[in-house]
Amino acid sequence: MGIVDTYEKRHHVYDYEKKNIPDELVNELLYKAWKITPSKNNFMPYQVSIIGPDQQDIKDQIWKRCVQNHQQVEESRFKVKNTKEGEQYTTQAGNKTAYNFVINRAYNHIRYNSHLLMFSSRVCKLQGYMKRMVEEEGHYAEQCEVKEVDGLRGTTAFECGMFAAHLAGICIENGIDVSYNHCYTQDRNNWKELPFLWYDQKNGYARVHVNMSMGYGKYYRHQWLKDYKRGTDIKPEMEEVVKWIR
Amino acid sequence: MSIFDTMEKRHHVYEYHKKNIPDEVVKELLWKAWKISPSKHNFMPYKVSVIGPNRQREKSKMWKKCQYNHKRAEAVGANLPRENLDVNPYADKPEEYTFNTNPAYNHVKHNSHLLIFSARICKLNGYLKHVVAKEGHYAEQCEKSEVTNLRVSSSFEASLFAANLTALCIEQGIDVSYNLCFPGRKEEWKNMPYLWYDKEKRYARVFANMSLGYGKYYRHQWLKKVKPDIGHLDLKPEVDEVIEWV
Repeated sequence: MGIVDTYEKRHHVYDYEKKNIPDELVNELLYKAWKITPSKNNFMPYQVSIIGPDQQDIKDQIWKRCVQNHQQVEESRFKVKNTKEGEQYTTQAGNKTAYNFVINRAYNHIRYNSHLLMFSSRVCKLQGYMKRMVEEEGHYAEQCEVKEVDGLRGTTAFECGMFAAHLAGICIENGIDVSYNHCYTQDRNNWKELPFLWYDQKNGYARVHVNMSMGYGKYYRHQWLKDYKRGTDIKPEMEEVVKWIR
Repeated sequence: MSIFDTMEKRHHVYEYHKKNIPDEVVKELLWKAWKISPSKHNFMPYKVSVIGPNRQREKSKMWKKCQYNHKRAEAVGANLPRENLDVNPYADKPEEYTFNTNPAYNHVKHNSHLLIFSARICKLNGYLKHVVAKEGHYAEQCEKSEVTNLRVSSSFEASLFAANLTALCIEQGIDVSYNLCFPGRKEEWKNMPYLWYDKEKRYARVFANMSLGYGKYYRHQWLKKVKPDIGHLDLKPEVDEVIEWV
């Protein structure tokens, strides 16, 4: 199957089937993604934490953080005014309204899935080649320094994206669905209860780049858009995204 | 061909053939990548600036920025004060350090097409317009003030596009290479106006450079030839350093 045919099968999942993917298969898919994903200076400055079917409490915690973050972002960006009727918000569209937070169904997949993958920063070790480059040629390996993690966030996220895109393709080839989420707290202090994500063990800091769920899809966003007559949610035209510099 | 077999053919290019890819082929590949790349709320909060064979000056500008940034990163590594980093850090003590132009950046300067991924401010599509107006949703991707907060997730999304484009290129016998070494500050792109997301302040957030062309000489060949004693030590971290089961 060609690349377009494979990736055209990807759809955002609202509900997964209860059937789980065998751990062995997940391991094999991850190995393949690791094998084909390039990285600057071969560092791979991220870790992929896998939360399997038996770790529902952790998935619940992560889901809660996404929902809280969504609410916090909306509330902090809207203008609030205290009125006799209570708090009145002015939304991005300029509407004055009593704001009711509604949990977005698009987050379901974080909570209920076969496996949840969390991509976060890690501090790397110098391997053979880079060790020599650092020692003998004055190279500076930022990826090995705790203090550089923040500065590297953008490029690390880019590298995570490559791993995730390859894994997604390999999963689809195997009849497995995946969905992404990047609505979560940006504060490195907010992951104290999830030590497996820390890049800084001393301070308990973590930098999360994305969540990705895996499973067998049952109900998808495009179906929900139809079922609830939500209209067509389309991409920007290609010319808005791709610009030829003449 | 499977994604694994396709992606195993990717190698970092040190030198491209002089033969250029026809613009029509590049356009078609970009269209396909646009078509299959997912995005949160269908925003695609990035743009891909395509610099073709006739815009050598723009490619050279980007190459210079990469070189400069590399030099500056090494100065940070040498513990020079950050406030002095705009000045050549070794001007008064050249005997202590020699900056070597990294051949890994060649592909940024000499290629058929150079693609620069950077942040853009989005417009609301029909669906999101409704959700913002009627349901109080906050669309961060439409606000200049949010570009910095969103740089991690936008970079991740840009990478999904880049990874898909890579696979499509390899299917067509076209090589690609990435570069993630460039200035990270939004103020440092004043001479490349097509990258600005804020035209008034002339700010840009760049996520990655990606070159396209027909490969002639690759990094793995260079390692064998120029670094025969240590080239074989340039390996990825082991799979279990990157992937961790919780």
